[in-house]
Amino acid sequence: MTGISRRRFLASLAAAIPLNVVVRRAHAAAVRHLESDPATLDALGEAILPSQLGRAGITRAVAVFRDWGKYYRENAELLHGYGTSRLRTTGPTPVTRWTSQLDALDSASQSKHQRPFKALTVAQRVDLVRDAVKDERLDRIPNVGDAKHVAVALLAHFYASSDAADLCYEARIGRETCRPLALESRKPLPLAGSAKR
Amino acid sequence: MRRRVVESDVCIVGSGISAAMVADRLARTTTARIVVVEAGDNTVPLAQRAAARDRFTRYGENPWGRDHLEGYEIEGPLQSRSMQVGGLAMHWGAVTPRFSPEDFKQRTLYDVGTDWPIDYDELDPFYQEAEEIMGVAGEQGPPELDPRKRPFPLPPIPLTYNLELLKDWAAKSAIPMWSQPSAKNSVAYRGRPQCCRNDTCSPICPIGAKYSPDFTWNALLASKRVEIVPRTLVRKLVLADGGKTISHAVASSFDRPDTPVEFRAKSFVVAAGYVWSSHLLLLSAQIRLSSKAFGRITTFRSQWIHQAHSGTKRIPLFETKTNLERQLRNFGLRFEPVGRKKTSTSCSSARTKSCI
Repeated sequence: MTGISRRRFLASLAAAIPLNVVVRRAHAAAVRHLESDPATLDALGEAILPSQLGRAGITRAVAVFRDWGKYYRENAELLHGYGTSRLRTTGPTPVTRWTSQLDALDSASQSKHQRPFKALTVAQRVDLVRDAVKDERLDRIPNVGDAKHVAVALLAHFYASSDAADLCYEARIGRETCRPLALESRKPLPLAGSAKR
Repeated sequence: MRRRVVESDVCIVGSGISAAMVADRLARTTTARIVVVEAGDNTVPLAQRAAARDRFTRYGENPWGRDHLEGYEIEGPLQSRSMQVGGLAMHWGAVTPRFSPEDFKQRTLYDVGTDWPIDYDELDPFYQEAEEIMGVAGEQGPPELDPRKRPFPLPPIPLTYNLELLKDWAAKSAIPMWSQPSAKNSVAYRGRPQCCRNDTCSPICPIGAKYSPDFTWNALLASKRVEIVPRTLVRKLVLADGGKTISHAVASSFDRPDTPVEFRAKSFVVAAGYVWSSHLLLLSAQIRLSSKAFGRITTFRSQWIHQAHSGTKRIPLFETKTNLERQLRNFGLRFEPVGRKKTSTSCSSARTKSCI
């Protein structure tokens, strides 16, 4: 290349492309990565989600989480409540960060156990996740998009769900789902398999 | 300068729940031509609310889209930014308790606050009328505590299991407990379905079982009883007859900012919300006041305007400087005429574009 350095050429090329286009493409690429290689995220779900959900329940919870990331919108206006004029918007897509972190879990697994993350036992996966989040402040469950690590995000996503509320109360409450008024005053039925507790 | 003139018999400034109640009554009881001016945009149609709710529950996104005016933010916890057809009651939880009789006599009974110029019995039929428009579900409490004269239009929403337990405990302690009235359909009502407990009444009901003012507006628009002019901000009520009447309202359209809009009507109703009604009245009285001051007089003004006087033909403005000074003094504020800027309250020092 004559008259212009490669670095300057790339810098000018980058400047010519609007940032939001770059971000959108990065988000789309990260979503594709999550969808085309779901095994690590599925394995993470098995390691950190409640075992009471069973394999099918965990698969479903992870799939819903993956969808959450897929349909995330940056810079969307958040609800502003009564008595405040402050407007807030959603932040940058967390999905690009999540894919990097899943790759990092896989790399750590290869280094420590010479196997991919998905091939580890649940206990081994949990150890790696503990290592990955050891510097995080985990005194509360954050909003999904604000979670620093994909493992925390997945946990936060599940615990915000109606299924999680049911699991916590061991009852079929069905929070935030359409349900008949006539049943409102009755004690919610127990979850299947929770009768002993 | 070109201007657009909109003429009517009654011009309602604002399209929130107070405005909807006034318009509904006028449409039923008169043949008046009614024009409603709303600063915000049209609201999200019912058909799109399930999807909007989904985005809210998953991501916390505002289900009402662009329901505020850009550039009209103010500092502090004063203003709810909800500007759209339907106003703040598009977000509300639809809980509709009445004031109790003693609320009207706070000064007499407890030596605090201000007695109202009307009492519970005078207001009772208007409460009832509004409850029937909205479709309020409820059960009457003990008459000495809940002296309504006629039953609620809808049966009560059943108590939840938890509240049923609480009611039993309360009964054992001889504490009266009855369900809270709310404008949610315990049975289908006026074309809207029965509530099915989606748990997101505030900010959004996905099926329209919760009353919101857009239902009233849709019905009035369908019967051609009102004209709604959205995206138009009324900036001033121009007085005539030495300040006794309003000749017209001057407004600005966000779509055609170069063409002022003039609303001419025999009667005006100011129902623009607890901040903007006060704001408009102060603008119209041509005084200078900081945005902080609006909130301090807001409680008084909005109570007076919305609860007591919004159904009457004219809203009295501050008529004289002396009256205004007295009212401001009640709230620890100082009158500052136009042209005499004080650093502490001037527009230039206030971090707001809503300053007058």
